[in-house]
Amino acid sequence: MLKNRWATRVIDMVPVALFAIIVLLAMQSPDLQTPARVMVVNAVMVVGSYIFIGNSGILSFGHIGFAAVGAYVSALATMSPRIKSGLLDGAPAWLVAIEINPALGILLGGLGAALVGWVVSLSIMRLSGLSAGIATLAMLVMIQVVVGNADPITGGKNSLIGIPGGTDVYVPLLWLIAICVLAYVFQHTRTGRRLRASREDEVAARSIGIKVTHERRVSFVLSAFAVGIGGALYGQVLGSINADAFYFTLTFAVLLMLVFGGMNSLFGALVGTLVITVLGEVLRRWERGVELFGFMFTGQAGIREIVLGIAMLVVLFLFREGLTRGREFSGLFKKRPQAIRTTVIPTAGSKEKREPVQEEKEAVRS
Amino acid sequence: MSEQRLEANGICVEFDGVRALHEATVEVRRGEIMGLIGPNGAGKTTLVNAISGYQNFSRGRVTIDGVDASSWTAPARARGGVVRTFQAVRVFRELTVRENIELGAIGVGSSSASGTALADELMEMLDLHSQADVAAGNLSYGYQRRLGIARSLAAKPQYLLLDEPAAGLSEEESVVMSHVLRDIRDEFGCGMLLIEHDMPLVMGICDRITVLNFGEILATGTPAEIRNNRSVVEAYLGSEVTNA
Repeated sequence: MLKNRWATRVIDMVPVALFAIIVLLAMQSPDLQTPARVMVVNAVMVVGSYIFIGNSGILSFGHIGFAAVGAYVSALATMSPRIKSGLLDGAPAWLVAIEINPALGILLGGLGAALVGWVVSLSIMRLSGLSAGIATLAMLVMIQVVVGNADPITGGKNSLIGIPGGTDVYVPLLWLIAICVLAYVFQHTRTGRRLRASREDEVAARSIGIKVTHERRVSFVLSAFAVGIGGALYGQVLGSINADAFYFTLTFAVLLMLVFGGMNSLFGALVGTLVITVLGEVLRRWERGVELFGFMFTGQAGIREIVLGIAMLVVLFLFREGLTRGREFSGLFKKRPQAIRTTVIPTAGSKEKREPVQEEKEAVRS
Repeated sequence: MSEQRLEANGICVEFDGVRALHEATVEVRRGEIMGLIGPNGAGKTTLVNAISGYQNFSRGRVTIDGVDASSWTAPARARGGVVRTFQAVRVFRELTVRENIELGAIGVGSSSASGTALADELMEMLDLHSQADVAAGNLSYGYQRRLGIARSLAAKPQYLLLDEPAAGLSEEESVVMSHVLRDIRDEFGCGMLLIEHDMPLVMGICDRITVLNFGEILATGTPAEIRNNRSVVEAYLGSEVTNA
């Protein structure tokens, strides 16, 4: 039993390893290095969002706000004072002076996002369902407005450039693995399990002592931390950030990846990131024009968005729960036991006997 | 805290000015099965909601073993020993039978390991072990009802509130249910408040019965007393049970 459980856990980590191997292979081709790095950063944000969305069942439109916080905190803490004094007019002296190690900057970005997440969670986590989703959207807008207008601190609408950290893929990849392990461990903690119960039925969850608001807050803060790390990595990988980068476009890209793969499993988060990134990259190249059998094919500009949209619809029509249908990797190898309809024939006392009627209930996974 | 009982005292609930409960009082002692009967719309579920923290009340109080729990949230009351089931069962459909039961224990703060052990025990007792790894949503109705009870029991209730546990069950299944409920009382020693329309079941297993009509308590007494209570017969029982 216990052995079995550990085997399951190891198998569930296989997609993380495969994802890392695919990234490392892609890094061999100079052409694919940038998309591969961006994919790793996106994966951190997708898995980070999954920690809250997947476990609580509440769709958050605001998590990219945490990426913005993480990116700005990390960038401002690591950029050289010389560049900062040039970019930021009227910044406090301590902000200009501070310059910490980029690796530490990433962690600081995550912690900054977690702090903002904690403050926000005090109010938002009292809400449920769609109203909670709308509230997170409001949070995204608020963060965007603050970041875009706090000129002395963030540079307002101007980009922050010269963010140190380098271009290697190993740091983001190690963070991705760490965040995946965090997400997977969390969903098996008691908090994670209580949260999943509340996702299934909030009313019933409360009846067995589950403090739904509290459990949601825990996952929200953890999730904000992970997405903040993603934002910090985003800044380091690209070297520059601006407020508009962390808005609707990125929000929907990340949600597309998560929903496409299946927002109820870590496996789904990784599959969605990979498939959408590859599909997006192929279409991008097609838009620029590809030569095939001596002919030049050029896609209509904008074909990428349209095809991605259609792909999303197809997946949602076929599998309401995304490509992985809410399963972890080990779920692919397990047969789901079928319920057996039985009639109960009571005999004396409470020791009833039952005869299985060979009427297997259809595997309903509607 | 010598008084080992769950009490709802003078509960008043109004929905937009409509009186749902008026001065409703009910008491469940540890180890007894208290029936709660009455016609549809009498306020039985509202009373259970009020006791379990799902319904605010304008007047009255709920005490658990003498401690005033009126202001506690539903999860706090569950942790305080008052656990309920639902008419609509509300199993966690995507989770397995085992996981559902384990969550009852984890929900009130037990460790995962003790949840696993308790789940084994309860599956054995409620004859659910053959379905341990089946997704709860795929279970037949009767099994889902028993699972709902098993999940509540895993939360180690001192008082268990059952909202129509036999509704929708066949006659045979209903008989099994009455054995199950009796076993629960004997093995767990918890008090039970049982809403049920199945009169043979209620009369058969309840130690005492409270009758609710139009939001007010009509009578409280032993099954025999209730059966012979004139106003109860007129309001609810009709002639069928008196003949039975």
